Parts: sequence; C-alpha cells; structure tokens
Amino acid sequence: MVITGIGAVSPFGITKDIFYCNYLSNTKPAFVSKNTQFFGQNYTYKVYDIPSIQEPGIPSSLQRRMRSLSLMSVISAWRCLQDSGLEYSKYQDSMGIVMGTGWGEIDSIYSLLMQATETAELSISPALFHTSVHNAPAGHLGIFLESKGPTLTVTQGDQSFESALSVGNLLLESEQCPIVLLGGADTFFDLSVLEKNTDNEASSIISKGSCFFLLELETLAIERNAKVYAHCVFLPSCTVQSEQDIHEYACDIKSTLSDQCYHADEPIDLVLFTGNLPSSLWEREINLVKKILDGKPSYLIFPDAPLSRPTQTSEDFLGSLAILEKQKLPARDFFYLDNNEIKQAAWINADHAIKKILFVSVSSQGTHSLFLLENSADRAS
Amino acid sequence: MNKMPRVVVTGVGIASCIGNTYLDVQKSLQECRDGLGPVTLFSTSAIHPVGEVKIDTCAKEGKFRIHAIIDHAVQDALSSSGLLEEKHAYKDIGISLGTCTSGMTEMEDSFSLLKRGEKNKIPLSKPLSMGIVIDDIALQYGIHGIKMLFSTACSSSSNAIACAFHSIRQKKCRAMIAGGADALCRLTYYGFQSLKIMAEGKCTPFQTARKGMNLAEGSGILVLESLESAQKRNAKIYAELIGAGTSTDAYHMSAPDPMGKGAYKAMKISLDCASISPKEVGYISSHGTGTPQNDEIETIAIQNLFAECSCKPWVNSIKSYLGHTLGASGAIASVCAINSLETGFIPPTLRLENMDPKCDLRHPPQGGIKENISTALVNSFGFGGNNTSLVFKKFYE
Repeated sequence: MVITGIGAVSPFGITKDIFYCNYLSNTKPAFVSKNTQFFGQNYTYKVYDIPSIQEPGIPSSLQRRMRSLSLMSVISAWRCLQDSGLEYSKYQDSMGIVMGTGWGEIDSIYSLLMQATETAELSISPALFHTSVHNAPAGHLGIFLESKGPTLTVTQGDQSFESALSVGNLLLESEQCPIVLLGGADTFFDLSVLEKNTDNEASSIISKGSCFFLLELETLAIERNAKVYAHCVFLPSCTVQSEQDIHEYACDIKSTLSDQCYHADEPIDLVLFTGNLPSSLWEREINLVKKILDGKPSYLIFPDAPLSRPTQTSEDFLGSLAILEKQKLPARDFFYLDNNEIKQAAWINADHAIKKILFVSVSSQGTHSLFLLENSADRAS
Repeated sequence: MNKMPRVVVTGVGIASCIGNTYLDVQKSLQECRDGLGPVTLFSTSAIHPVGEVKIDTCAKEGKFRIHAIIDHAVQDALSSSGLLEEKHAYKDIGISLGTCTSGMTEMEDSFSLLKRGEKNKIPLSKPLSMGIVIDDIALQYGIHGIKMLFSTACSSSSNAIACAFHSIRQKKCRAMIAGGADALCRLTYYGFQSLKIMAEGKCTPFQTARKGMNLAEGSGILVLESLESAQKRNAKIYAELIGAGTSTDAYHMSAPDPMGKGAYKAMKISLDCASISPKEVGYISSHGTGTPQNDEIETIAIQNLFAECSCKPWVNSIKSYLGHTLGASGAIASVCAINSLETGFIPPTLRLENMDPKCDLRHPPQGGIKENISTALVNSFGFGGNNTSLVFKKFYE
C-alpha cells in the first residue's frame, strides 16, 4: 500500500507545506483564550485555533452549510485529492472514504443537548439533528465528491485515526476499493474544559484539525505515475499488556516486517511514538520496541505534550511523512537507542538517511496500532 | 491458490423489547408479538411508542445503559458459541461494533443535574466517547485482537459485521464478535420527532398511509468465525455469512436517493461478493423503517434488482416488532434472519393489511409463512446515504 496524497487543515499549518515547515522547525502556534458559559457559570480555556478557512474548489454555498468539523474534513480531503493528481472522476463509483473521529460533530450534539435540557422538547432543530451524527463529515464529503463507494466512519477515542487507517487498508486488501481517501478530524470539545475546571485540574490546550491521506495499491500508483510519499506496511493491531503478550507481539511484528518490507534486513531508522499514555507506561513500550529492533540502533521520538484532541495522532503520522520526505528530524528532543540503551541524542550523523519509520500508537489500555513507513525512493530502488 | 476462509456464525445474542435471548425472540416472532409501548425511561409529552429493553441496567454500577444492553447480548452470544471457553492466542479474537449514540442517556441525565445546580456524577467526556463502549467490552471479556467501532448512523452494526467478515476472510483473526447497540435517549426521540417521521401508533412499514417509525433500543451480536476454527472446536454453526456490500448515495444527508441507486448497489455488491444471483435469495429482511419515503425507495431498489426473478423473495420488516434500534438495527435484523434460516419461518410485517401500491413486494401474510429458504439478505440504510447489505446462507458442509 502506498500513500499518494496529503491534505491538512491544522493549527500547526493550514496547508501541508506550512505544516511540514512548522513540524520540522518545531514551531507551535500561539494559543488563544476563549470563554464559554455553561448553566450560568463562566469558563475560560486555551485553544489552538484555525483562522477562518475557505477553499476555492468547494462551492461557497456548501461551505456555509457545514459546521466546523465537516468543513475541515471536506477541505482537507479535497486538498488531498488535488495533491494526489488522481483523475477522480474515474473512481467515483469505487473509491472508499474512511473517516476517524473521536468526538464527532460535538458542536451539534452540544447544541442539541442544550436545546433538549433548557427548552421544550419540541424545539429541537431538524437540520441540527441530522448533522449531529458522527458520520456527518463523511456524508458531506461523499455528497460533495459524488462518491458512491463505501463511506465509513470509525470512532475509537485517541486511536480513531489509526482505526481509519486499518479499515482503509482492509477495504484495499479485500478488493472492495482500489483507492481509499482516509483521515481524521476533531474539533474543540467545550465539555472537557468544564470537566477540568470542575476537577481543578490544570487545563491543557485543546485544538481542532483534520488530516487526510490517499491510500492505494502500489500497482495502481505506478500505473498512473503518481508521486508516492511513502510505502505503508500495516502491522498487526491488538491489545497487549503482559510481558508474555509483549514478547509474542514483538515476534509477530518482526515476522510481518520480514515478510512485507522490501529491505527487511535494513534497520528501522526512527521510532515515532504517539498517544496519551501515562509516563509510567512508556517503559512497556520501550521494551516492545527493543524486542522489535533486536539490538539494532534507532532514533526515538516521544510525544512532547498530551494530545490536544483525539485525532491529533493523524498529525504525528503526517509529521512522519514530513521526516521521510524532507530527510530531516524535527528540531526537538529525541533519543537514540543503541545496544538497548537509551541516550539523549543530537542529530549529528548527516549521512544517516531516514528510510524507515516505525509509527507506534498506543492507548492507556494497551491497544497498539503500528505502521511502518518506508521511503518511496528507497523502496523503488 | 490462497483460498479465503469461509465465515460462519457460531454464536448469536440479542437484547430487545421482544426478548433478551435468541429463543425468546424466536418465540415472539413466531407468535407475531411486538414489544412496542409508551416511553417509560424518561418523561415526555409525546405519544410515539418505543421499544424499550427490559433488563436490569442498574446492576452494572458505573456502567451506562448501552453497556448493560450490549453486555447482555455479548454474553448471550458468547455462551451460545463457547468461543472463549477454550484457550486462544491474544490476537486470535477481535471485536467490531457499531453504535450511534453511545452513552447519550447518561449525558442527558448529567445535563439535567447540572441545570438543577446539582453535582454531576460522571465525567462529561465519558458518555460521548464511543470508544469506551468497545474498550470496556474488550477488557471485560479479554478480547485482545482487532477492535473496530463504526458510527455510520443506522447502518453502523451492519458495517461492523461486514468489516468483521472481511477481517476473517483476510486472515487477520480467526473469530470476531460483531454487532452493535444503541440505547434510547431523549436526543434521538426528540430529534426524529422534529423530522416528523415518528408514528403516533405502532409502525406498519409498507402500509398505505403509513405514518413513520417507532424508535427503539437494543443490541444484536454475532460470533463470526472461520469455518476451520468452528469445525476444529466442534461448534454449533447457525448460518454462514457469504457476502457483504456497502455503497453511498451521495445525494442528501438524511433523504435517500429517489431512484434507490445506492440501496440497489449495496445489495448487488453483496450478492456479487457472495457469488450468487438474485434468484437464489429467498428472503429479504428490509430496512423497512415505516417512513413513506424510505419504504418506497427501498421497494424501487428491490424491484430493480429482482426484476428478472420469476419467484420473488419474501420481504418483511422486523421493525414492526421491535422498532428502529438505529445503530443496532442491522445486527438485530441479522439475528432474526438467521433465525428464519434455522426455523424456516418468515414472520410477517406486523399489521400490514393494506399494502401501499408503491411498495409492491412479496410480503408474507399475517401469521407468517413456513418455507425452507436457504439464503437471506439483510438491508441497512442510514443518514449520510450509507447503505449496507449482508447475505446469510443456511450452512452446508
């Protein structure tokens, strides 16, 4: 499977190129303070916002009808298609769409809940109701693209995007679709702010954003002479917690890598971890990676802050593609694993090209989603 | 040649207003008894009947209503399959579920408490995070394989079953617990009321001058397994899942394509996937919500697909018994269709006495029909123009 298109709308970059630049230079957006009121109480919270966005390729009447989550999703998906150079009309009947979202159309749900609680039951807005479903963004996208293939929405907390990736892969492997447009999107979630205030916890910065990717069979990409960002090897996804499970899982991963990587004998250059994991549990993940790497050296990057929304992991995935394409590590703290020892590292070896990245997403329950991204030029050789 | 495994159903579980076991539901269907009645779960001035699940949800302290409902169905399915009674590797068994509203019932309760100035009992983020439903069930039953949770409105659980089917065929695991659940809540009750598509009496899909749907809650769960795995452990095989098809209308967020093209395509893909022709289908469990538009358009799609068949398949809507369970409806219809394959009894669409001429399908007479059908098609259509069809077949070696 190969990735041949990218589209992003994020506070970290409202286009793919700006995102790449900010990600690699570790430039964070400025946060803004917002106020909300909930049953007479005032709350202030910090957000990474996105300036008002418009996309010339999408009719303005449609853009006006969509709420924030759908708008971000449709715009980033549209940009992804543009970026891929796909002659889209050829695939309208068969292309799959898979969208991952943690909270779904939370704006609409929140408004409906307030209507149902504060006013009479008959005051529910019908227009708001049918856009409150989790699959509203994917539905809008299907309508805009006139896409008649499978249009699926998955939701699995902080691993919603990873789940969309796996389901997209399943659509391709089972030959339901030759090409899949997939991504993750989430928007501000006021209620989490109220919760943090209620519990007197230090409030983190929340954000919104959307990333989409075009995934297709390598044969099709070659046939249509598409630019390939990376080859993606889908590794087994499962929940492992015990030492025994970790050991067996590492063996499975190694076996899959050996079967599916073009250059299986060459080392993994970078392991990029993502997810909302308590610091005490990262040790378990390091042990897993040590077993997978089998003593071979690799750079390691850990999340530098808690996720600001469930599908922020899609941005970490996009960051991996930025590293592969630009052959540059982000300007932030990273580590080097050598002989099973972790050291603080500096990027000093200019000749050390990054050909393979192991993307490791893990939830606090021990659910693992792992993907290997390979540099396309390396694989083609 | 790398042959794909056959996928069989080795466990069935259900929680619904017409029964909380497979056999209870079978009895209700054979006795042509519905479970629709007034709302008791919350106060409302509206009179639209609903289908409420009668189980003790309070017993699961700290758990949401949807959790109690789905847990009941999962237990039912697992005990009928015996799947977890034997030792299995950590990644052998996966879970794929569908839901629309997750813990919305508890969210509404929290909002009501906060409005009254009282202390909220649960974190506000928890009920809205649908992932919690599948995480809790997976944790509870020690299921460590693939996890997938679909939220594609009323086709959610059908998509969950379809993807579980493909996961087994692609050898990602040897068994999957697949299905879905939804609990009744004010948001959907008031929401569908605002769309003016809820019947004030018991719904009668395909009837002349039908007034709409009845909202309901419930859960349907299937244990899907590779044939090899099922035979190795000598499991009872209820049916075989032979095909699945998914399409999109790309027409409107809540209204179906007027020519039923998306519904037609989903059914066609599912039959192609199953490598069978329309004439081999003996029975269709329709989406059949009872709204004027949906029933008419589903009829067009069925008529077009089965136009060449000299003997048309029987068509019914089990929503006339247990209402529209939203994200769970496809899985519950699948459980009922499997029951029809097993017993040879096709229940009628209840109360259907004056068929709408625009819904001219082969409806079983009131009282039902006994016929030894071998293949059943289950339709689910949802908001966002999402269409999914599943094909089940009586199991033959």
